[in-house]
Amino acid sequence: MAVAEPFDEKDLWPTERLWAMAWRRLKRVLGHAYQRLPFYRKRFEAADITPDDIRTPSDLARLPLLTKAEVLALQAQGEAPFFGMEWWARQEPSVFLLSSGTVGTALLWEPWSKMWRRSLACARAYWHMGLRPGMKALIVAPSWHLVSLLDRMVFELIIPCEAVIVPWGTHLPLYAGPLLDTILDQRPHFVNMFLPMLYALLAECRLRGVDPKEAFSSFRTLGVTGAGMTLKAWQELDKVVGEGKLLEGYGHAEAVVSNGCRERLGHHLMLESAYVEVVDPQSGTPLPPGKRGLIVSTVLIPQGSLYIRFAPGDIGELLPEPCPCGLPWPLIEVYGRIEDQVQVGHLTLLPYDVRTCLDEVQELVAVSGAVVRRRVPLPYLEVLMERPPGANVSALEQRIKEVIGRELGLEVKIYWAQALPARWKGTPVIEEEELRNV
Amino acid sequence: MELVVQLERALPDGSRYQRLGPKELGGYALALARCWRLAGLERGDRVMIMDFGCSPLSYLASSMYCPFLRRGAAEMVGCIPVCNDGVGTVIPRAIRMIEVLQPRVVYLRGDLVPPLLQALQETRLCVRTWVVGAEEAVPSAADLDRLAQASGGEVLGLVRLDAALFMAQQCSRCRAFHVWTDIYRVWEDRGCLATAPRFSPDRSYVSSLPLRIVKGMCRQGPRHIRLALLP
Repeated sequence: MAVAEPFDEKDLWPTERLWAMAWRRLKRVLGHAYQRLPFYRKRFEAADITPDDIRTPSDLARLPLLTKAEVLALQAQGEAPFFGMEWWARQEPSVFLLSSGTVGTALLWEPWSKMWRRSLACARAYWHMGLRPGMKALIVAPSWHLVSLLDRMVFELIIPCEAVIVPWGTHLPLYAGPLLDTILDQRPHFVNMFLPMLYALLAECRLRGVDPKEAFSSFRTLGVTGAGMTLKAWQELDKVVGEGKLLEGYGHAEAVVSNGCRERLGHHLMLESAYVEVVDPQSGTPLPPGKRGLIVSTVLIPQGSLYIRFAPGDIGELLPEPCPCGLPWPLIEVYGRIEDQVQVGHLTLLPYDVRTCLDEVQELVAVSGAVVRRRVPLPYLEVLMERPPGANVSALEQRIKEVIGRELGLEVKIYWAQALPARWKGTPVIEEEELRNV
Repeated sequence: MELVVQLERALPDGSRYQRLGPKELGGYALALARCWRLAGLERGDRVMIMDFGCSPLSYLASSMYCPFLRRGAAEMVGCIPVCNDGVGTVIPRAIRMIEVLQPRVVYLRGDLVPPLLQALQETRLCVRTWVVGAEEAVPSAADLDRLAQASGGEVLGLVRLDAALFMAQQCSRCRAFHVWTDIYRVWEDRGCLATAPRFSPDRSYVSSLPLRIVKGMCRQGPRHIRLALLP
């Protein structure tokens, strides 16, 4: 199926041509890093290779993965503000961005020209999500975050908006009140926000007795990012906010930009700004589409802070099938974080896998739950669930056991709690000690 | 095309939104750049801003942060900014970023002073100047003194009147708040500070801040108006 409204001619290219473009750019970035950046020169030399040795995607396994912990160590010891992984071509405006995360916060030095080129990829993603010139757009991301800078460029310079609206406060759920005021007062059409803030906005709507469908009725697109959602969770949330406007994206400050589409099979990767691999977590070898592994990305714009074969710790897979929406940009699905993996019997599971099963039981779709991790793995799965008010718990248990047995081939032990701590967002993994405290 | 910013406090007409085009943003950013220079920032320096993205201290810092802004303070002065949000919970992250980046000046929201003081009990930072900002309030002298003692750096106050797109910053030399006469008109209205930006004259505003105009001149800015603002 052809794309009805392409952003540009690349939206009409075959997927293979997009991959070939990304590969050419990747080769150029590798050569640039080897020649000019001391940090990467040392990594190439330690691996006893040069960029010329990387001829096919499988050769990339010879270049070690870059982790956030390594970057943090480099920045802690380096000579501020540059650490051997930055490049600039000319004097131009620049800022430092922060890349927060569970391991710590790293700095990225980003000049205007790099942000401009990354924002072209972002503009394409937003175009696919429904942003059009003349709309009113909200910026919810804080100034230290990449999304804020991309939004700034896209909304003014690439897809010019009638108004760009900045609410008071920041992106944290605590500031849902002023954000809801802004939405109700200014009636924006487009936003890309973090998923926890959307949940906080829904709670604020409940508190004020406002119907979320009415509150969000001005939005043509409500983009969310920052946490994986199962298909059922997304369908339920889409119904709550007003059907057809909720889209989920995936990205990180170091490289990746992607967008979800209405087919909701995965996220379309914008290969013009990042080369993306899914690799075996142990060997670093690229895996074929359809195989789950560690997501690894390389930014394809050789300016500012350069992240090559960066593994932020996300687990996902490149999807083998083309998307029915017609966009040729390849699909990636993200399932969770490597530190959230749980070993049960012979399986390595993520909370996403368990949540997908729980969502098969209609009464549990919006109910909080947690997956228990033991120091010594057990042969059966353990799940802690919040008890739905008035529910027949034994009937629910039976249905959970059926679906877990059918989908994962595992037995399951279920614990019920009156309420789970509010700090447990989504479906977290909890350690066995925490189970005793609930 | 315009930027619509939700304000911390409502405007005199009750609205909580301010609409800004390129001209207003440019004039407002020039005032911030003058504040930066008064704080000692020079080409090549790094500056940290600990405030929300909706604060003019943040969005005027760079054209990379703000749509419709042609040149931010960073482009005018030649600095590289880093923002770190305006909530107390991110103070530990700010401390680490300051250690890594070593900014010459840090601008922060007044309500971040107490958590920052707490954090400074365990850490020593090499920041030359801290500037504490507040909207229609003068940062408390006691807070500024405590921060100066805890940090070992110089501490200055900055007063904003968002309704009039106004900023005035304390001078390290004379301790008065400097105002730039080519950017703002300033007068006294019933003992309080009143002002209007020359780049957007309709936005005049009479504040609740008692003032005294300081006579004489300061070598940091011989043509600046100098104000003694009372809390």
